[in-house]
Amino acid sequence: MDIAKVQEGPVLNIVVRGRLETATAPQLDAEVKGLPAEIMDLTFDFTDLEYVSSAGLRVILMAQKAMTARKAVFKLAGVNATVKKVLDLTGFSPLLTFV
Amino acid sequence: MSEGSRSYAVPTTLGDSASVKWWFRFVSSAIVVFAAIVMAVALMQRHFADSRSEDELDYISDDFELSFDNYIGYGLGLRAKWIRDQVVSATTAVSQVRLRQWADMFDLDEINVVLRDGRIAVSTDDEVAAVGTMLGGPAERFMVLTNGVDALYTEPFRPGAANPGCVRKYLGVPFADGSGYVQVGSDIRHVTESFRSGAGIFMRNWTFGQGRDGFFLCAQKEGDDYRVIMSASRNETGCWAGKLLEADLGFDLDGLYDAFPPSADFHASGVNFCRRSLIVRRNGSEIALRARYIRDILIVAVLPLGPNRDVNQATTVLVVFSLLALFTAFGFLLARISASNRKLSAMRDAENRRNAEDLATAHSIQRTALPVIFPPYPRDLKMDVFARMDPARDVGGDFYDFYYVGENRLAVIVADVSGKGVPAAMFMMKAKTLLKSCVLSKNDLADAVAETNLRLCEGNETEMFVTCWVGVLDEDTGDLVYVNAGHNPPYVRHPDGSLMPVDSVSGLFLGAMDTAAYKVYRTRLAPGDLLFLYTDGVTEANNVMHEMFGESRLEEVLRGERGRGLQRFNPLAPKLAPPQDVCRFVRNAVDAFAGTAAQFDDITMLALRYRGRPEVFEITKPAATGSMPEIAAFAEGKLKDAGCPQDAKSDLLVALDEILTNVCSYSGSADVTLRVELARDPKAARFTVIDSGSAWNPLDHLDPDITLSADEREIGGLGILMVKKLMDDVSYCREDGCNKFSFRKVFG
Repeated sequence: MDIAKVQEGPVLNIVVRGRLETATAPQLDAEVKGLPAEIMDLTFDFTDLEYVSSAGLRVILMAQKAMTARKAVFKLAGVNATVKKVLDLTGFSPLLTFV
Repeated sequence: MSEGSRSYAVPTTLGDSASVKWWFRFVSSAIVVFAAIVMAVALMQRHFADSRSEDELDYISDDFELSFDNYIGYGLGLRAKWIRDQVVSATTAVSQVRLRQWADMFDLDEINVVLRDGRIAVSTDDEVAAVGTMLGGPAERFMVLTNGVDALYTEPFRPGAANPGCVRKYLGVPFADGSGYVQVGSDIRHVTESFRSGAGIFMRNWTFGQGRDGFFLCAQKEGDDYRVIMSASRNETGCWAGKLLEADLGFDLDGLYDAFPPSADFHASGVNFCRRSLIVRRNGSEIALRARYIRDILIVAVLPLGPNRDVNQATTVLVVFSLLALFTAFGFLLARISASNRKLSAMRDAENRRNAEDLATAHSIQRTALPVIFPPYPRDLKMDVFARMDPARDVGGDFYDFYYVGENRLAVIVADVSGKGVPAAMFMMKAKTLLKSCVLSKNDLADAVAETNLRLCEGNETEMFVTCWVGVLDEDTGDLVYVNAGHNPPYVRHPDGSLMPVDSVSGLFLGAMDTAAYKVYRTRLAPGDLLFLYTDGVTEANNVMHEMFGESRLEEVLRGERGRGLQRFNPLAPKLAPPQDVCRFVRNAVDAFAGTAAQFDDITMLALRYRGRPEVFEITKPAATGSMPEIAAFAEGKLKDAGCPQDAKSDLLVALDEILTNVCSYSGSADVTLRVELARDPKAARFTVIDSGSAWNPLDHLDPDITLSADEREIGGLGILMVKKLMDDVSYCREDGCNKFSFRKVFG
């Protein structure tokens, strides 16, 4: 999995390519934990993300909680059918914002 | 059969309940009809009897009246003749005074001497003299006396034309010289005197028919009452016995007067030959009455109706007895017919009951003999089998069977027993059991069949036979060995729809000759092939025009070319239909062909789809999260080789990630093994994760609540939920000290 970041002022776009699973989730987790304070608009771009396992869900949940805490915006972009399916069946979809 | 289960008592005696009921019904309806006829006859008889009595009364009363008139006339006639003899001729000059003297003497009210031309010569009555002639009046009829015949002429009492209050009777006698006639007239008032004096003599002549109890009575008005003058009846010796009406009939004259009121002008006219008829009931007997009033005299003719009725009663009794005899004879005849009918139908019922019981027994034998739980081996991915046996009404004795012979070898059998009913069903049981024990105990299938045949031939007094086809499929390789004992060969249907008959030279059917020999044949099934076994009930099913379903139609169905629903869904085409559906399509096609014709033979089918043994791959690595990428890559490679599509692959890899994470993080196992099984029919992958850690079944734990908010959510347990939802089936077992968690997804 590789991660690319694009920041424009308080807007941060993190592009995740590959798979968000147990082995790779810590990478993204680190990004979320180390998020700069000025970021008020965070997007995970999952266009090239194959699938996400429960480890990945944890990271997404952490990101959502963190952004909510600072009253910031958190979005998921380009979610494919497989990822959406997992988010739906685990009941995460209502908590998230999709673009 | 236990005692009492088959006692069909046939009712033949009069004592059984059905017979009693029948008799009751017959007798009660016979009584009703009988009573109705008797009543009708009796009523008619009485009506005729009473008519007779009344006619008799009328006749006698009329006769009485006439005779009475004659009697009066007789008296008048005597007096008239005397006067004529005195006058000698109409031309004789006789004075009115003289005539009046005579009138006084004879109690006559009028005397006229009439000339032959109708002129009145002399009359006691001035008014009559003033009229002067008989001609032109009612008395003109008396002119007949001038025609020279020496006979008197009289007319009955009549009210006078000039004076209606005067009721008079006239009588005329001609003069011998033809010069005219003498006419005398007498008022009705004289009647009563003459009646009284002459009544006794007069009434003596009055009788009713012999044997009757009728009689006359006369009563004269006195004041407001009528006092009986006399009553008369005649007994056999001809003397009259005076009986009072009261004593005889038991009612008084007041009652009689009420019953026979005279007309209003009674007293004015002085006479009222009132004709009244009445039927009166007194003291239980009925009497008919006729009444005549002659002035103030009442004459009543009385006739009891009983005697006339008695005569007719004899007829009634005759009718009654005839009917009785008729009904009795008829009743016995009917009873005999009914009894024999009931006997016959009871025997028929007994026979039907026996047949039904036999049929039920045979059916239940069949039912319990055959395995009916499908799918029989649900965890077995390598094959899928379905069978059905639909019995005909007269149970045949088809059977199917399947069982494992060794770990991966499945025997399938279909057979057809000759004959019907319970014997066939029992032979079927024997054959099936024998065959199974032989197949299980012998290595060679031909030997097994030969041994079965031998044992069936022993003691086969009923000479029943069975055709059968036995095959054993090696699930790992797809090899099929088989023996055919006189049975119609099965078909193999390939996934592309093409058919291959499973050829063999058929051996002799079982149970015929103990020396019969059998040969084993081999073929091989590829994954996706369907083996279709059947009995001739399918191909020999008839329609109403006695055409047979036949092999070609069966082949059309199996290829997917025939049948309702087949065209629509084309389910036998590339997307392979399960064996149950194949059997159903064949059955439906047979039903559609047969139409209303009855099924006369058992219809049996067994369909076996061979899925093939899945390819199995394994990888073992240390149970650490670091191993996971490598294991995932291994799995992904195998999935790619099997042509697994992207979405299924992702799901499998997600599930794998979850399970491996659990094992690597928490199990405490040193190693973890992934087994990948790739099936070809249908295309599916099964992953089994095996670890030797502490026993832990992820399926034991509750699913997390996925409706909680972000703050409340927890991650634990989500992974298992995902595995359960993404995979087609999941299972866990603990075996040999290892956790084995398995999940499967179908992708083709």
